[in-house]
Amino acid sequence: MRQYQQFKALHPGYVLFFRMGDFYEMFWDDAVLCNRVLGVTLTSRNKGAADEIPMAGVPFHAVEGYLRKMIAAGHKVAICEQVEDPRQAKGVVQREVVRLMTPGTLTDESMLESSAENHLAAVASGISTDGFRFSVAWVDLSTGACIAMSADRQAVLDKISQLMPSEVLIPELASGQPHEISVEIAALGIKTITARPAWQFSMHHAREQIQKQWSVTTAGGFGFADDDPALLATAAVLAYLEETQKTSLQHLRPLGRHLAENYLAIDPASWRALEIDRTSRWGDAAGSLVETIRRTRTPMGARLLRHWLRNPLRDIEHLQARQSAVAALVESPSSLKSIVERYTGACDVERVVGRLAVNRALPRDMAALSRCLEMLPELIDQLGKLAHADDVAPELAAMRPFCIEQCAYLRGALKPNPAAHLREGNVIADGFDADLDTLRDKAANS
Amino acid sequence: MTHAHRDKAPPAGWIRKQTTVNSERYITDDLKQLEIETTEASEKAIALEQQLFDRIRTALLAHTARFQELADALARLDCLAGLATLALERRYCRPTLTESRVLNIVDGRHPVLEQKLGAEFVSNDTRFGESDTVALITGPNMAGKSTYIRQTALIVLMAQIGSYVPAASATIGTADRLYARIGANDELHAGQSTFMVEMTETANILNNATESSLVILDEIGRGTSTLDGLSLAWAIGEHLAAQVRCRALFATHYHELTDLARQFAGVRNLNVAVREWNDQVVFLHRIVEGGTDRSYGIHVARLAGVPRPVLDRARELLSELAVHHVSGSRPIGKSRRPAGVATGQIPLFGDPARDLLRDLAQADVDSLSPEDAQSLLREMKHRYVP
Repeated sequence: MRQYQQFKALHPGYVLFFRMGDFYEMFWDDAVLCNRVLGVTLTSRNKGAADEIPMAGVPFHAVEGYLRKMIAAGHKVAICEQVEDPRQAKGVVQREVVRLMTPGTLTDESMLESSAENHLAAVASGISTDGFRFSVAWVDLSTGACIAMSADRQAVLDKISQLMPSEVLIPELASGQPHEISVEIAALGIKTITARPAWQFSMHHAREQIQKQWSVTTAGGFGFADDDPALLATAAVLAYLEETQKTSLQHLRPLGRHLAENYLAIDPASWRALEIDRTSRWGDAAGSLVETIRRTRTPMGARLLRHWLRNPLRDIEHLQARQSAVAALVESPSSLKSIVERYTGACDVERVVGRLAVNRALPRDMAALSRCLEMLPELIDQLGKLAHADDVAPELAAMRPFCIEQCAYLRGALKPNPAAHLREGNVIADGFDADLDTLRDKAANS
Repeated sequence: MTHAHRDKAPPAGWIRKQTTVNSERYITDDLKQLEIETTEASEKAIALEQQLFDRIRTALLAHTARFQELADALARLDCLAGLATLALERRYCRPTLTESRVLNIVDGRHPVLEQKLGAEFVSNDTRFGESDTVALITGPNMAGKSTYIRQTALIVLMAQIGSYVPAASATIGTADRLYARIGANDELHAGQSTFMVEMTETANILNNATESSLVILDEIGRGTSTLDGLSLAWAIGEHLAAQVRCRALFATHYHELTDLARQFAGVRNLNVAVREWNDQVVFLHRIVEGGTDRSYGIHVARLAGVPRPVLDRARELLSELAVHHVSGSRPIGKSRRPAGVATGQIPLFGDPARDLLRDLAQADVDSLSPEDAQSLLREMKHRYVP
């Protein structure tokens, strides 16, 4: 129990899933919470004794489903595993927290809705040459998108209301209380608001984080003034990702600057009233504009359509470029059909790369990437046949050699239908590595 | 070794491992060694596979940026092809985009309702010239006012993501801001009355809209008493037309507002075409130029199931009101005026009969539960019928 309390103290704000044999056990308040959220039976350790402890548990083989429920309810979970074989342990089995799961930092396919982004946001405030400003930065760890803006308080709240991040980080005041903006953020319906130490929202920290992440000495290259409070929020997000992921974040895109004046502004009340992403009466996506007009065939396309609707453009030239691409496809319905057929079933390249980066990729992710790369040359050839091919996807044609090369590499490296998990073996193709082939021969020839 | 041979001694080096019904199983040291080696080899193979997997992962991640470019290109293609598929399927048109304030949508449709209703859906034009400001749409509820103003907003939004739009043709002067303030919201804001929410949202529009904005307002002012509501609606319309000078579609059942068009050059009146037939009203869902001067609230009330006696009384009051308007002297509803209610104080819009009609027209029949409908009716009866 001392070991349990030690890990619990190291991860405040997290529900600790403590591995004990074939179960993950939760104690005290965590046990009560799991009983309420997961519906698992509340029992107790040392029953009847003075030091009776409330306890609840879930079997290890079914833990995924329980984790999904906990995260969906807005809770954060720390998973503590046994890291040595209990049979060989002297005294208490050695354990370690191997994973921190929070609503805003998910990457697993099974935990995410494929057609929606999953944002982690941070809110900060500071004084710049423009005076006192609030700021918000948001990241989708699963796709690598990373954007920040500074504005007045209301505009920041409006942005949060539109993004509806799964988790929002706010600074803790000197008093130890969370910043008072948390009340307004909670009122928007944000379930998980995490208070973080104030120094993580400081300019000094921002410079450090931004240099570490993007190897730049100034955010000027991303279009930010050096004292832009948007950088404070960005730093807080980066620090949180670093702490929860414990991996490199090399798939994070260059920091984007959201410039409100480039877009058609739609305030939250109007957004709701127009039922763009959900109906106002039932709150469902079904019957909303986006679901009614969506004809996309990949999760990436579905997410981009939502992104476009959230950020309608004002610049006519950009809009006309999109129109021309649509026109080129509309003009040739039969080509359109065969183009769509060629990429239907393409895997979620963006999220696969995200999982590779944070080391959560499964063998099937690589297999799917391989299959996707395999069909791309044909798609590119089909696109080339369009009358106005350059209007549609000019950047794809240049990637043909890359697709072929990477596809060849992956086909040589992976079995066509690899096992679900690495621990089962049968993932790497024969002939990829001589040592592996020898070991496999030995294992088979008995 | 089967039991048939059980009397024979096993060869040297054989170690008995297991006894079954018919035989004894032995293992030799060599076999034991082989078993250990096999198990070891497969364990080592799995460990090596994990290392190799990591190597492949690293090799792929060396191209992170290229893969992301690829993902972006695919996402964009999918999105554009999706819009093209939609355009072909629903017969959308490519809008002409301009930086002017012009809005000229011919045979516009509501992108969501059109798909739900199919051929039944009635298309409508939306026209704003360079100097047009507010378009007032009067007419009864359920006649398509809300659909019409929403479809205009959605068409502009779709045009500004680069999509084709549900119309026969369209010229769209792009907007900088899009505002939609629609009726009493169903959602409950903690501690705020519906009217407070409505006014907060309206204040936001009045303070921030610019000449390039598009504003749609549906039944502003219904969260308060009739007199307040009408006054507010009037003042808001005036402000949009005179100060903000944005393109605004203002759906209202306050017919008095149609007078705004006489005072401001950019203001126009539209109404919902209605055909009356045998005391029945048929809504054509077609928006036409001009104001209306009659409310079809009683008809809507009948559709909602308001009992016959109340409807009859409403008709009676309505005709009195008409007489009152003509003669301008006799207070209406005199025969059965509720005690304590002053009469004739505000000749323009203070008449209980009109209030009743207005309340009826305001009732959002679609969102009323049977219980709500009943209590609404009770309240009306209490207020207007002693």
